[in-house]
Amino acid sequence: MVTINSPGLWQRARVQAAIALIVSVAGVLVLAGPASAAPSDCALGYHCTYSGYDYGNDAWQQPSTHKFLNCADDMYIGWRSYKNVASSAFNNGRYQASYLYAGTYKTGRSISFPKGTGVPNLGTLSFNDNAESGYFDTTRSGSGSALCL
Amino acid sequence: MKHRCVCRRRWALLTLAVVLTAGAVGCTPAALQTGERVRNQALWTMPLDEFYVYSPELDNYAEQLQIAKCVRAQGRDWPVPWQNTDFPQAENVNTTGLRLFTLDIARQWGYRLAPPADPESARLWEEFATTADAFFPDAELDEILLHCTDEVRTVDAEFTTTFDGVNYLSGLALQAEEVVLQDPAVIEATAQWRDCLEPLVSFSLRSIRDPWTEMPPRSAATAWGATADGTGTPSAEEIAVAMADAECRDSSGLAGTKYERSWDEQQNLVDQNRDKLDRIREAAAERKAKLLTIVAENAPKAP
Repeated sequence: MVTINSPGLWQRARVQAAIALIVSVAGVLVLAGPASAAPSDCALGYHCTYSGYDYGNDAWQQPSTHKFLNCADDMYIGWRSYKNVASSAFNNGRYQASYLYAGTYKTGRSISFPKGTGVPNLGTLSFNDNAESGYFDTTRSGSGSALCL
Repeated sequence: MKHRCVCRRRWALLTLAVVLTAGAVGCTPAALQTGERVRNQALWTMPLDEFYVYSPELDNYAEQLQIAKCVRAQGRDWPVPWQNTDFPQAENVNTTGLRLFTLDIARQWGYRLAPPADPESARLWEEFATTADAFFPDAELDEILLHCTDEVRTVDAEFTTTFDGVNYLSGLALQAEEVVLQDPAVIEATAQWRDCLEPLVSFSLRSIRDPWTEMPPRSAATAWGATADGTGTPSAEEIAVAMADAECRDSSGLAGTKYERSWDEQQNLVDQNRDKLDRIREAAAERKAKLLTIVAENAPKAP
């Protein structure tokens, strides 16, 4: 449930939605190229998701940034759910591809990220506000799940 | 009163589990290894599957082998191991990486992922991950890895090709699924699934829109230990609930209705995007051949 109580935020939401739609309709796939800069708050080794586009966070959509070092079977941190809020994501891992799944526990469709790249608008992949679990390669096999958040 | 209710549920579940186990026929795990492009509900085959050529894990592996060569040239170790380049999926995952759920799967693994299809390959990669992670923090090695990654990607500027292609396929599949989840027949069948399963479980199903991605709820998964270790042996209760769930998805018509509607929606998208999909498949096939050559030239011998 997203609650928007500011006209300015409404306008921003509409603009972002329009951008997402245009890019999505155009079918443009936007993956960052080599040596693309990681978001400043996404440390080496982590996969980071953000509630806003371009690795930012939407003021009205909390909680915001979610990071995992190995995996997240169910995108919670403590009691807070981060499910279905990610609008952009970056794999700042050192040596593995990372994956986001539409369902918890590696269920549903997934999208993947080469290391050192991100997707600034998950809407281009029909994945906006859709991620519920995430993994690096190692933890996608069952035995890695003990390392999950 | 509540205690008696729970006992009744458990008896009902146990009875159902016995009946379902006794009635089990066919659908062996080996059957999950075959079949593409033809309708197969157990394997959840779909029209988009034919455009999925290989797992992007191969891209990462080939790149890591080249990075390892570069890192070694700088005097440091980066022990990328042998890997099975087929990257075979666990038995309850189809060839496109989608988790499957049937009565037979529920009986064997509950809601958990089956063990890796190639345990040795998985073990070696886990060992590499453990070794590599132990190197850090090491600012010098991080610098070398960044430099080597840039060097490899300067030569292989198309390193995202298959990731982009597979993500495009996933995006189309998600579009199809979103349409299917709003289909009145699917919504009605989901309501019937809830009516079938709810009397047998101790948690609410009211908020569940898609059992394939939302079962079991977090409270049940936590209680069964799924959050502590996704591959541990499922309890009798978890298996009984999973089997009842699978049976209800079938008896309510949900599994069949969702499968058929998904097939039709994906077929529409294939028809609308045929040219791009053909290009994705062709590019992936070319790239796979190139990557396998890189692996053959750089990978350690198989154990």
